[in-house]
Amino acid sequence: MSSRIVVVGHGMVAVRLLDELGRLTADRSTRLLDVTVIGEEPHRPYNRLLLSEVIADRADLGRLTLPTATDSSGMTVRVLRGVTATDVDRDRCVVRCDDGSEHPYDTVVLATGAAARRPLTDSDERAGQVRVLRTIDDCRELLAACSYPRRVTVVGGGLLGLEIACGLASRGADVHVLHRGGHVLDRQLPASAADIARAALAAAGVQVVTDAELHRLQHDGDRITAVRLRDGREIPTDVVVASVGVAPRTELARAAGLPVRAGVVVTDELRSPGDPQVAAIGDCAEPQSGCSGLLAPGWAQADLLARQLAGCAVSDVPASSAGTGQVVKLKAVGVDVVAIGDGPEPPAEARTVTLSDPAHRRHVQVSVLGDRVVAACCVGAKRVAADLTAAYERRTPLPDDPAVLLLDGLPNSVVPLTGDPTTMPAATTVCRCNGVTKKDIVDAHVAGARDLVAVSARTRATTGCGGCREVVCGLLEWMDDVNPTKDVPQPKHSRNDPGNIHSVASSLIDKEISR
Amino acid sequence: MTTVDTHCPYCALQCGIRLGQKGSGRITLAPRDFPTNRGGLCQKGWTAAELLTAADRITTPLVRDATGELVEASWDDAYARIVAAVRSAQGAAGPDAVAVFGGGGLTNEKAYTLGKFARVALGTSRIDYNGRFCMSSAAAAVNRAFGLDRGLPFPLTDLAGADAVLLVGSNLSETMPPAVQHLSGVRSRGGLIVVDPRRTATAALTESDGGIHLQPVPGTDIAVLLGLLHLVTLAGDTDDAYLTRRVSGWDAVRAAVTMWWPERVERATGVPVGELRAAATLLAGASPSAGGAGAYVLTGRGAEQHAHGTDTVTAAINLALALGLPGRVGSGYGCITGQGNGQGGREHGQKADQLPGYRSITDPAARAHVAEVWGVSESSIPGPGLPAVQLLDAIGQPDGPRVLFVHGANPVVSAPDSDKVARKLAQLELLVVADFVPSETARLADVVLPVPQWAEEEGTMTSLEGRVLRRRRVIQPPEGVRDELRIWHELAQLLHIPVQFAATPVEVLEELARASTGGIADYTGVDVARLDAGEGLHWPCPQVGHPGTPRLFLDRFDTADGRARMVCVDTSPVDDDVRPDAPIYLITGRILQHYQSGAQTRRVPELLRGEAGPFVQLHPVLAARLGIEEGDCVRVTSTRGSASGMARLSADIRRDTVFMPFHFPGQGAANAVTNPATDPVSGMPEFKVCAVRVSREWVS
Repeated sequence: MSSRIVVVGHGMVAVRLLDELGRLTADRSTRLLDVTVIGEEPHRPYNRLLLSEVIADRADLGRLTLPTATDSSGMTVRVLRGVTATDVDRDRCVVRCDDGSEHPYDTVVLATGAAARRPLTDSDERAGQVRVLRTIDDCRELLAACSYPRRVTVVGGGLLGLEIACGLASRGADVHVLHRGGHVLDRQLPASAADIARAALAAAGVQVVTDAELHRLQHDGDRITAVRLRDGREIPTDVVVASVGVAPRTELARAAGLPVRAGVVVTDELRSPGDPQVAAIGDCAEPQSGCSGLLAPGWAQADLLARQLAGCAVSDVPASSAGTGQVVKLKAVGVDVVAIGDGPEPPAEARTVTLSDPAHRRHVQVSVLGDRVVAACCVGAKRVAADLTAAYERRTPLPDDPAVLLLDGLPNSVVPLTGDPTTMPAATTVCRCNGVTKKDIVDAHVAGARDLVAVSARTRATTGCGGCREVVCGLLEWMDDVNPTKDVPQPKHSRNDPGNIHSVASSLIDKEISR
Repeated sequence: MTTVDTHCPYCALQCGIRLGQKGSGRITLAPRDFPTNRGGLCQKGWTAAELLTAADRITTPLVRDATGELVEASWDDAYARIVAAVRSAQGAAGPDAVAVFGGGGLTNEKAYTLGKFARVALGTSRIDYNGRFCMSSAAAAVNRAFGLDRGLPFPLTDLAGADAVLLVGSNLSETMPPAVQHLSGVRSRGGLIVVDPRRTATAALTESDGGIHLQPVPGTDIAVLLGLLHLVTLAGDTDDAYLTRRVSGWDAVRAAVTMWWPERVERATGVPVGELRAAATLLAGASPSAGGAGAYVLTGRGAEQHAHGTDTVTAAINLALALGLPGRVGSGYGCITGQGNGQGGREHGQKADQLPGYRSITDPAARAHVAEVWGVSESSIPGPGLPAVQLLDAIGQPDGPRVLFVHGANPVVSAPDSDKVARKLAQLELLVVADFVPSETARLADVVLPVPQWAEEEGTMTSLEGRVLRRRRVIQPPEGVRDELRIWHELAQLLHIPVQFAATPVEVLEELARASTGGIADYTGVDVARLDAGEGLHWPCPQVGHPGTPRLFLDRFDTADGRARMVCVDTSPVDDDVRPDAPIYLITGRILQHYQSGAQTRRVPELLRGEAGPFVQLHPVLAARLGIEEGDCVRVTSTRGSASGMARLSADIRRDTVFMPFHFPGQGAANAVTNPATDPVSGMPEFKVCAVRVSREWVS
């Protein structure tokens, strides 16, 4: 008897679950899973994280599609699209849908995600005109509303809000971001870093208004004309889009009488404490550690649940998939922000070093504890951010002085071959391919080799890849000056003969080469 | 002075050279204008003639005596020892008790005959070769995608016109320096993209507006490639008409790659998003569908020598296909073959699962064809054997090999977990090594057979671009040396094998050509007269008089339906990843002065002066942390073993990674540290990344 699994929701975490189930059951025939997926949206599943890339005109909306689950030898999959689950009947173990269908389950997985919160819903009759960005349809509507350059107000200076703001600014819109707190990205960055980010946003065409409590929309007929803040400020605008967080979608669990706080409460095994046949993963779930709203923990949950459902021992779960710390990177055109760790303020027990460089809109802060990076934030420091992320993820050894982490390494060690012949050390390798130093060239010149062919014949310089020809010619010109041949004007050494190596080589052929 | 035109003995570039012999007998060497090297030569090439006078040249067979010493012996005695051991082992445990380990430096004629010798004279399935450590991942991926694996399916000179070249894990400035000339055009247009955890000499070519260097965490090349494919896909820069007409599997690959957005790639690889985007933009703009002059995606061992190297190469191919590059003049995907005959070596039957003509040993029609050429029954040809790592690992097991022939290889230095390999070889009843110098493996042998080296032999090689080249003799080998073709001919007679083993290269090439007829690597029209007349013959050359095929896939791919096959691939964790007791990555590679296990180049004084011994390249920040200074002796240790070298501090390497060259034996043997975990498809071991701890051994 196969195990019947009903997955409610077909977002990114559900897709991950199906993918993992497919992988884990690919070579099984012993235990057959019979999976039904109920997706509310009519579209094929897509990568929601990339909607802001569509807004920034860096991705085609039609190309966000995620892989479709397929049957494997150990699993059959049935996908329903445009169907909404209305009820989990725990007595009969069926999920009922708005099309009247019923789907019996042994395990029901709630992966219903979260809904965008909307401001002003109670206070303003035109709250419905405030746009959000959660679904493909939202994305289409927002782009249509902003289809020619106009004034846009983004409510909420979190990650998504800033991505939307920068994306629309890159399309030519005049963008304001309203943020309730004292600085943007206040869940990720300390104020000092956010101030730098704010300057970078301004340079990208996004004005930030902080301590901004939205009061109501001003309008002229159906058309929004401005937003009014609680303190009386008014910002003229044509479009308002809100990114003020998400609310886990818990309706089904609540109606089924299961424990719900912010999200559907789940145990470490991702089951509802009220009914082990009900699991929840992703944005709708609330494990012990709380709702994160991020994808990585959702995927880790999907991996863990997949192993349970496929009958793998839980002890087989690799430690790395049990959830790592947060690395958050802003996907905004022109503004580079990476935040690592669990919150805006560095852990008190850690050693924290900071580089603050407002004039170059750069800010780096790194906290280390023992031999590990435990938190960091980087604004305007792309390579440092990438290096810190790698060090954080892999816990690779840190420098003795964490201040070294604030910069992206030392100057490269290879002397540029375009170096000045007069100052180049004698031992500098000029021709890598043949291990020829400046001294070898000088010696050859002194010994009478006065042109490139003669020097090449004596030293083999320039006869490998030919890349050092420029430098060798420079050395020869320099030597012509300091070691001139009596009364004979020296020709300028040709750097750019076509087939340059061959011209040297052919003059060498049949000569005896020796050193 | 007499002169002979031939090719450098080392890498797959097979630079054209002219050898002369003076009245005094001294050999002179100069480059000649040949398409791959255009008159250039690196230090290895220039000094190659010095090998011919190596002081410790073996000129007589050696046999291990009762006291355990290798002593000089007659050929008859050496053969008697071999024949007795083969009979004894096979009598006790069947044909597979004898195994063969070949090499990618052997001529086509020798590679072919060695495969035939194993299957027909020894009757064993157990033959594989060091190309498993070299080309196998690319070969597996390319065969799967295109149905035909030729390293470069276009002449190397085609690179000159491209607007972008993506080099993933190739350091050709050190491994084949004259090839850098072919990148001058793309560099002048700012289109060279190099993916390497180190700022190698090749990566430095991207500087001064030459292009972009992406410096990922070791073992994450595939995520970089998935990220590039993601970006070109999401931006709509794919060649959709080409994908519709010439490719299958795109829909699934497209959907899967949606998951590799650049911020996720940065987190996985350490490559900043901006650099990845710049690379994607460059590639897309260079592609023909965007009106560019052309783009190439090329992989080297850095991308391939992993336990999931086949996946990484597949990701590179998928990227190339999405941009519409393969099978188009001026664009393409290629793999940069390493060993001198790394291409030919994988075509003629040295590989565990292959018969000549790059045929599958499990294909009944292929077996029947080859059986007829060989004059044996199809059923007498054994089935597939074990890939190299598993083959060596089977020694000492109940059904494992008891006798091993090694030709053109030095696995004690070149195989992963090399200390274990040496212990395995010690368990053999008889180890036979054919070589011209006492390599580290030869020193462990029970019988050493002295053979000729490059300028002492005739034959053909197939270069990285699939062009068949003549290797010519300029001097006779020393007295007492016997050519492998003769050795196998004589051993077959002593084993009373009623099958002819041709003993001259011309005869063998003629037989090889017939055996390859109708196969993938079809040499039917290749003959010595045409090569001597200067014809540039790229296989397939399927009929007598056929002009060869410099550019493949222009009309169709070699798959059943003519379409290239995209396969969904994803990242896999590094098999031996960093952890608290081994927090640093080791990567390995080659340096300019040395070639492979160093058995040849370490015998050339000028090359040893250039680079005398093992070193450990590490970042000054890491060195400071570990209390290591320039020139200190540093020990690098993994769960398998350790190796030592001089500290070389350089900001050209990531702070989380150290590099060692793998050319050195003994205490400096990097492969004592590397990981023998293998790729499930190709059998390639994970040479290129493992977790180590690094400590100072003594102060300089």
